Amino acid sequence: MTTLYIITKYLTFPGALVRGFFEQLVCRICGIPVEDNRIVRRDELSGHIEHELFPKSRGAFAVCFVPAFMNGIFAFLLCLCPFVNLFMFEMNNVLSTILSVLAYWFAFSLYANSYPTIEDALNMKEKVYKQGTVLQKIVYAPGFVFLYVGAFAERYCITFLLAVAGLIGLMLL
Amino acid sequence: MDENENKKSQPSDMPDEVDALDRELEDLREMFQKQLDEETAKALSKEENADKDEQTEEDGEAPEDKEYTEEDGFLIQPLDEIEVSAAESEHPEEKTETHLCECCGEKPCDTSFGEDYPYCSDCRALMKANPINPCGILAFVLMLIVCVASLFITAPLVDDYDTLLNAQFAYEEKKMTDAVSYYQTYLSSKSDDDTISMKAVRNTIDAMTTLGYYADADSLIETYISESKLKTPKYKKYAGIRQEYTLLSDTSTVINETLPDISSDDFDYESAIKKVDKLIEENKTSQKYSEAFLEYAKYIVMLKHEETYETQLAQLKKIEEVDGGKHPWIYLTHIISAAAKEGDIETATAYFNKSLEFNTQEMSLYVSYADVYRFCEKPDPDKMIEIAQKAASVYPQNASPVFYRTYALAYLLKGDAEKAMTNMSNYMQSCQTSVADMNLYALCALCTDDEDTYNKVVSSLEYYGYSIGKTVQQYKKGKLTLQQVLTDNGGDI
Repeated sequence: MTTLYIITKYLTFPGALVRGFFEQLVCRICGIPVEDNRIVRRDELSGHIEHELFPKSRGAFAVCFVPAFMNGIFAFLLCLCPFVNLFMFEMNNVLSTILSVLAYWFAFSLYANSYPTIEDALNMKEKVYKQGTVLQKIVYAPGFVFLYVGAFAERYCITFLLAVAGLIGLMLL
Repeated sequence: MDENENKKSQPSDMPDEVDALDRELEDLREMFQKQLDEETAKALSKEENADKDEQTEEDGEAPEDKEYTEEDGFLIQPLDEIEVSAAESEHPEEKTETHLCECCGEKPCDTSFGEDYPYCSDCRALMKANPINPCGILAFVLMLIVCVASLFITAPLVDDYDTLLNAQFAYEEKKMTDAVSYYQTYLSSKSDDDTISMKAVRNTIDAMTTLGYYADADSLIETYISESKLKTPKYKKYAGIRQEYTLLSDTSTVINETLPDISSDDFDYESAIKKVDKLIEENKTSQKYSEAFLEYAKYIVMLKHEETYETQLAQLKKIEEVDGGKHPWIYLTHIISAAAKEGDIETATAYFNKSLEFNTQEMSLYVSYADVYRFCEKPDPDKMIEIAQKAASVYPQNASPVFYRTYALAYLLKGDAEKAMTNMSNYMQSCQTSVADMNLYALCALCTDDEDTYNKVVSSLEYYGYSIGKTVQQYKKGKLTLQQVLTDNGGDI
């Protein structure tokens, strides 16, 4: 499974790199030491940076949510133009087609790399749902469920499969 | 403490044991001396390490404290102490690594972050300032560039997308008349060098063939789809449309050649039917022409000869059977019209619903379908108005003028002559009118006692060489009721 996981990370390396970028950005903002800033590598941390666990609930949630949210937003924006050009109207233009394919691959890779590591997800659960306030538990609940499930899904390459399914779905629309 | 005290009390007993262990101790001394030198050198090099300093001090003082002198060849240090030191020195790294920073291996771990925290404060500070992976930054910048470039390419086409979206929505809602209109607006705004939406081209061709505009469809295929593309599975269908167009053109040509006098008044019905039948028979072996089209030619001959509606309906159903649903635009409107004149609500409704699957904006379908509620056993003017309103909702741009006439007929049936007259006046102003329309207008004028309008219509008809319809004249004379005029004899006014 780890081998398959690493292969999917290599296939979607732009999204993995962007996710790592946002993850490290959050670490820098929150003052969390980053032990290893390599992103695409041959171990189960591929697609993520190695950082210390966040001691506070807000940071623990942010390091999971911010990269996922930013990847999602950019994936949507990148998806929009290729979808319109390639699938919706099938524009007959070489430059537009090349750019659309590139943008679509970027969007696809961003979506496949949206979710946090299982360690970060468990840390988020620990900080928010064992140490957090009631308000935090309520506010973070939707994001928590999404990220927690997504973290496990990504570890078992399910997000990659979902991204492939999404690609096929858009083509069939 | 007890052990230390024991250790300290041992030196007084040592001289008795030295003789017996002299050789062994000499060897041990050399080994420990070597070890001591190494440890001392190591300790001196790590001045900043407090624990190490203490260790170094202890190790450094040891020779002095233990009063060891090579000259005497006398070892003052107790043996069991030497053994303990030796045991410690066997794995020196075990003791130091548990406390030293995993990163630098020099400074002690910062235990303020937990007892097992593996890094020193300096390394932690360095990790916090760890530079962001340049590959990550590069990927992010590249992603932004692609995003902006895509937007720049897409943004100027917003107007096109608007037209295309309208066209596509119309196409999906089976509003083919609107769809073709939008697509033609889009395609006509494009020069050959522009980016063309191939989906728009395909949908336009599909919509055109649904409406029966094969010539236009063929022209579009020739312009936008190359010969090589026509061989691909996706565009193979369009190669078929071109062949179909050729077949229909040939059929049309042969029909015109066979029935040159069909539009003249003195054409021979029997002879025309025989010619068409012969053509159909020949075509069964050669398959050079469209059989459905040949049957349609036969229907036109029947229509010209004013055959009974039953015969016409039978012929139209034959066309449907022969055609196999490939060209529904040939017969659907005619079937609804014929069924309407027969007052056959069931057939008319079935074919009307069927025709909506192809194009919901064919107004002649609604007009014909509304007529069925005029000619049926119990005329239903409210249903006629409902159909007209439905038509207006699917094609608001065009439905109102077309349906003024239907509204007029419905209101006449309802007995509301004033509303009928208003609608018919609007119709006369906004649509091209026929003799039948002028007669209906005259009928409305009679119903509202508007002699002036009636006289104007009569003089207009006379101006064009026509006279007022017999049914209208009979109604004026009181020989026919309004109901009879509107519903009997196929509603010919």
